[in-house]
Amino acid sequence: MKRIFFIFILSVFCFGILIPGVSAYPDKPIKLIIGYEAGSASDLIGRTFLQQLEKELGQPFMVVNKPGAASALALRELLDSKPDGYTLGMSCSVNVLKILGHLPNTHHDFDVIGIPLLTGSVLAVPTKSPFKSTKELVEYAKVNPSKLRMSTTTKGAVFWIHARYFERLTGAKFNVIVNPGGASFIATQLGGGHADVGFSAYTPLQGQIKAGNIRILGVSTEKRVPGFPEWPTLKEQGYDMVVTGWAAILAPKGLPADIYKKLLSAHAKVVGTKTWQDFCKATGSVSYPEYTGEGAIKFLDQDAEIQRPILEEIGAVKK
Amino acid sequence: MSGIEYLIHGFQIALTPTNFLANLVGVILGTIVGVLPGLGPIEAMAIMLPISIHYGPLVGLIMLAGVWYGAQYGGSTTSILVNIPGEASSVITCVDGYQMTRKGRAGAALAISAIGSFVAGTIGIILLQFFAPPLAKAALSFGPPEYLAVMLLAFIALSNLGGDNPLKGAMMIALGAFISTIGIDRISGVHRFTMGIPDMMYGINFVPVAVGLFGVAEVIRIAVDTYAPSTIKSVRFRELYPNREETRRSIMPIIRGSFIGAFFGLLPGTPAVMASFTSYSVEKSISPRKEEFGHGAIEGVAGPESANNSAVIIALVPLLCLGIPLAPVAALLLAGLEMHNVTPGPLFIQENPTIFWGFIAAMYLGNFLLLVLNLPLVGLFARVATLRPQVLMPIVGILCLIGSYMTRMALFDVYVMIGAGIVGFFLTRLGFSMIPLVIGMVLGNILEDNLRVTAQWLNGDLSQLLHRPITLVILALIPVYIIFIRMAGRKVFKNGGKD
Repeated sequence: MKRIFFIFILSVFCFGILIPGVSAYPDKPIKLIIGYEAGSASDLIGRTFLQQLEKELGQPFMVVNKPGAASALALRELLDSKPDGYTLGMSCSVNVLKILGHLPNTHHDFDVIGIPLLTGSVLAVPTKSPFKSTKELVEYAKVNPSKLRMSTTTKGAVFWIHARYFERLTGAKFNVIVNPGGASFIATQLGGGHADVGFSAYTPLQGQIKAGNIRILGVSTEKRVPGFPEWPTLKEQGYDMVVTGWAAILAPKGLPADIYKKLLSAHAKVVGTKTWQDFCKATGSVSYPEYTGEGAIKFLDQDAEIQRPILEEIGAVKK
Repeated sequence: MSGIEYLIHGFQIALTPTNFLANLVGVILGTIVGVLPGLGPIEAMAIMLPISIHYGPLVGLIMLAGVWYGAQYGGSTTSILVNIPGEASSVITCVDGYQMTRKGRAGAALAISAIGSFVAGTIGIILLQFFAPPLAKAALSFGPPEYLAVMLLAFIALSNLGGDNPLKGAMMIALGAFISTIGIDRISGVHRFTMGIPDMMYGINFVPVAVGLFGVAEVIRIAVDTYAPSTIKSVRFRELYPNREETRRSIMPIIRGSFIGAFFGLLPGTPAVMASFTSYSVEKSISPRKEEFGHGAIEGVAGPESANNSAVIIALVPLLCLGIPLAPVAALLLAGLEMHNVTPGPLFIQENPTIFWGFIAAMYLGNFLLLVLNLPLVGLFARVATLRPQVLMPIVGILCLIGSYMTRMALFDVYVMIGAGIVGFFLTRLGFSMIPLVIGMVLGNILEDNLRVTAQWLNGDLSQLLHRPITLVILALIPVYIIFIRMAGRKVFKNGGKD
């Protein structure tokens, strides 16, 4: 291992000498500012992705956790950093922070590297729930508005938005319960039968699903998730709800063109690797190499437009 | 195979060189991050996670868990020696631990806290070994109303830590609760009291406030009282360790603390912090020597330092048996397991007996290692406390600065810490106790969150609380507890313990 590393370093070194004028980027460790607490779901996605990116770029990454304000504090620091490719950032909400009033900038004020991973929300119920399909659930909720308890996370955060979006699309009304923080609340409330239905990512529910305490009625992705072909999508059940949570890797605006290009190609390459695709499969997520650079920006634009009306409704939108 | 056979098999696994080394690395690292204020187990574990991935699920679990409970051992060290809480769960240890140091009993406090941690850790592992599945089931049966009831009970129980003057205590709790509301609200996402300052959006972090209120305020106090003779006596080696009287007084607090910790371990949020505060409060309530609390009562070190250790171990129950990480640290362990396609959950023990029993054995071993590592260090650390204040206090000041900055690398936290230190110094001079302020900060947030979730859950009709049996039982405990405290407290009142 050590020898391979040594040869690698040596070859990089020789290569650099042989062909002068070729940019040596990266020639020192790269810093990644993650806008979430160490150990949180988003942090772990970031760290796993970095391990692969490290191999591709040949330089170690240094993670700095700057949690707070849905990653706005981390992005503020990123905006102030030099656009030299040695400081990157990760956010799961960069496109709506301006709408929420946490930051005066959007993703257009950064150089977007890419979106390594997208996670569909799963619509889950306790196993002993009488509802066998999304349709049954929606029909019941229409007749009995606000009677079913729907467990979600913080107002304005991804699963809450998905829950509200679901209400809008189906016309059903739920008693949407807003929990402070992570999806483990959703897992406990569904697993213990304290909530009737919930929107969440797959991983926090995993243990309880395998134990047979939680069932999945649908997933909010475009097509069925590769790792779990048995989950029907909401779309095929007649509810055109295609929304996902995601994580984006960003750089300060104004990267030198060659460095930006190198980061983009590294990102696309890592996303395509089997290791990364396997990671996504195991976590019930999807990953597309085309969500790099321009493709990612287009996606972030669309996603912001889905979220905007829901955020406007709660008055979170700052004029 | 019976339980014993499984355990023996577990020890065989835990004693293989790789696993043993992982254990050793984990607990040593844990002790170090525990001793250093600011750098907590979560940060250390996040750094270790990618490294441990290469060595299989068990090695990772052993090493990461070692960091976690190891940190609970180390956390008390700076609390006792220099009044800086090393971890949030060691804040309450500052109160009596530091007073013991000033009386020259630093060694005793450190030794009791190591022994208490060992006993509580072991009790926690025994409970985990035998009762994990039923405990997990109990945790799952708790819905939002039950959590609310427990938090109310804890709030009532902790109210006796208000200091000598109930009114001043109430003011401090209110101030603490107010500080905890600053930042972006975790339920509605609304900015509260941020005054448009970006750094305030995250809220006022607990660690820098605690470090300021205790550590910095003490540095200022000593700097102001320059000409007062040093209160710290030098001690002979024989006196380093607890004497018979101190040991005797610590036994029951350690055992009570272990079970209090075990209970809080099953609750979400910050189990170790809640456990240590509650244990202190219980010890103070039932002690016949109430007046000694705050002035170096060994029970005030023994109880909380035990409670936090059993709490972190029992916090593994919801993780291993439900697959739900209730505490942030558990989320890291979960990630470590899932990277090897091991899914914790109700079937975890049957499906992965090697991992479960190897892990249990490794924790017994790790706890023992920690005791062996920590007891000899007591002598070394206790010497630190005998340094002249002119030398020691500048070092303490620097440790405070680094500790506050380290929590999330923000200069803002350093300003908060300095501000808290100055405010803390003057408030203490004016006869306010800092403990209710800290309690207000910890509990205010949790109580508010639980109340609001429960209110949504019951569609705003809180009278529904009384229709749930478990909630009703917990709520009924509140008056029982108050009556009990009055009875236990009467003796002191009769003696005129209060003026």
